[in-house]
Amino acid sequence: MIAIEPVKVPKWGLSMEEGEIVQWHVAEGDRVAEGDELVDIETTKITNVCEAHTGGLIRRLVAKPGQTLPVGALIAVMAEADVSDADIEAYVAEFESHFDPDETADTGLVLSTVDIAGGRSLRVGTAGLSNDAMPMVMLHGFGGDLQNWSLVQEIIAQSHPTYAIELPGHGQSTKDVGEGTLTSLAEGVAQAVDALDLDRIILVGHSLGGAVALAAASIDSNRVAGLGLVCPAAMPGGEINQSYLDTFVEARRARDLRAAVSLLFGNPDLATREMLDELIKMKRLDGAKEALVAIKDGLLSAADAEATAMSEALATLSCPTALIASKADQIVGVPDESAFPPHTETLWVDNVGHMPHVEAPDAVAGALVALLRRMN
Amino acid sequence: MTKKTYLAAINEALRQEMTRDESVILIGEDVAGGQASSGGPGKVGGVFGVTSGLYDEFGAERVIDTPISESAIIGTANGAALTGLRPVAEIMFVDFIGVCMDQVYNQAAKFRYMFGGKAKTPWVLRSMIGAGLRAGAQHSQTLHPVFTMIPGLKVVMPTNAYDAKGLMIQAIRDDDPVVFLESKLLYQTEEDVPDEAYAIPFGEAEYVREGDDVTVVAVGPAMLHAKAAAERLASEGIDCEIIDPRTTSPLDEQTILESIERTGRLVVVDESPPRCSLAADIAATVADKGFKSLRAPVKTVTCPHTPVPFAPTLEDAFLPNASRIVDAVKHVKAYV
Repeated sequence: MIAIEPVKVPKWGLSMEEGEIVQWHVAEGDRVAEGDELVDIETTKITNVCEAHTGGLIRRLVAKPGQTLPVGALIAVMAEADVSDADIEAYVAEFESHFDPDETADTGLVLSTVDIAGGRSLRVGTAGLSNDAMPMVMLHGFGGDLQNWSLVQEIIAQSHPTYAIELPGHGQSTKDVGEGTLTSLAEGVAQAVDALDLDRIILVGHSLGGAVALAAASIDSNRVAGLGLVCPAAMPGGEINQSYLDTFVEARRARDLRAAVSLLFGNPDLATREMLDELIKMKRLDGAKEALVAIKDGLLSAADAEATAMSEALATLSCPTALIASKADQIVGVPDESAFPPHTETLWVDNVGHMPHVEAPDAVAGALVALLRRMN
Repeated sequence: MTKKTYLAAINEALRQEMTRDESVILIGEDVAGGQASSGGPGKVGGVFGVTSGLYDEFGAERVIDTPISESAIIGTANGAALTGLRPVAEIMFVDFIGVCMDQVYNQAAKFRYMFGGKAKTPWVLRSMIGAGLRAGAQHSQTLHPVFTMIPGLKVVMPTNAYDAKGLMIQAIRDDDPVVFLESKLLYQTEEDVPDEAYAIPFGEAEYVREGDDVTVVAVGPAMLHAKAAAERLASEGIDCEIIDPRTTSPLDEQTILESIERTGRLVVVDESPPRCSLAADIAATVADKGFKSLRAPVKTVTCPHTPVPFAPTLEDAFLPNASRIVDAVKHVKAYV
């Protein structure tokens, strides 16, 4: 048996189907240890570094920078020096002749739409087993979509049914946001949860979605068995960055969005050109901008009232709660931990901005799994 | 989101706008087609199939075949637009515009002005441009400069499927006459196009590629070559910024000038002949308004001042291509 170790395009998140090789950090002939940085790979959502899953000698870099390859494709070969070049060539040829991207690219994310009141519909991305485990429902932030959760959802879906819902005005959901208030958005979410035939749920929300989740929990405390708030907006102690919202809503070109979107991340380079292009395309859809304006105005004009309502909602919150936030958040500020009820477990994520579920998905998923365990 | 061709994207835009607004009608030669064929009416849908299926969906009252008379097509469109419809009129090849030019430049383009702002002419004139299909001098031209120079017309030149859909929707909703020029060579190019309706505003250029070394502005079918040239140049360490104006009227001068501020160097690529052309226009604009930014003379890559040749080898030699763009970029890059 010849000891040849393949390095393949990893799968980061449920929706990742392919990645572009950006830059190798190693050369043929280098010896690497487990965890060493091998290569930067860019997806439509994020540029990340692929680390060595094991130690060894890099013998062949199969993928060249600029190439876009499907998940699971061979990008490099590791083997000790006693393996001949001919054996390596044969291994690469053998791999490529059998490789079928369709077999590995299955995203596991099932997209559907559910009807809610007013003849409207919301899009939902479902992943994970439909077992008896407590389902987790995830809400994205202002201007986001269900894909924002894909890195975390993939992890949670290994043990629980998960549903990422696109809020009214976002993604491929209805552009009719009603009043655009947190309460009206929360009602839409509750109707979607009804339509999905879910009983008790763990409700997780990021940013605007966090505020909506808290509003939903205060409207129907029986429904929400546990609450996960990731960098939630409109919380006591926090302050919404209004200029971010204005720029996000008004920007018509990717370039005009860059400075604002870079504020989302601890590492501003994560605001890739592809991400900006996707956001601009989302904003151009009929009705999208009007929907964002309505939600923004609703959120800002009622900021004080909302914050008061949030404080009251927090005060009466009885379910197990996880607060996951960053002290370097430039979008919603830093929430006042002491305003949260005593049954709140807080995780401060380091080295991230407003998007820990994208920048540190393992840490966020870990905190949410801990929240799920508290249910038992 | 699904992958769609440039052709399918335009078809989808027409369908969605016709569904949304019943004042949108199609008019032209063979936009339905098949009238005397065994397949029956509606079986053609344009020579390349851009209007395919629309006759079946919207019927003979909204998808109207005309005799071979371009002046009748645009004359009808003018009257229909003035009286409240939103006609999308097809002039099959842009080369045929001559016979109806009065209706375009002296009527439609002037109505709003002549009637003191009380009239609007919300039509779209769809037509095909571009050489490379061995179609000869009378079916291969790229005549956008003819329209771009006329005040009162808006001129759109999509270079990809996503833009084609969004720009067509904007063109139909726009209250002024819009000339929408489709590149034949791009019809089968594909990319992700949202299923939902969306409009791309006019006068907003797109950064197709960002780079710091040389700005390349390319319009219409020439974009394919500009992208190929940029790839080649990138492998040699020269980083091009490619700008697609999307609309030649209005023209997003600001984006071009911003880019020149960073790169100091400009190559303009356009398939139309060089004299009084968009390439000349952009070069002049930058010389006028961006002179302080320039670190090298502006280069243009166009076809020569001749009709499009029919001989395949000559047609290939006539058209701008990646190699000529690479040479031009290297020339302005090397200029000190």
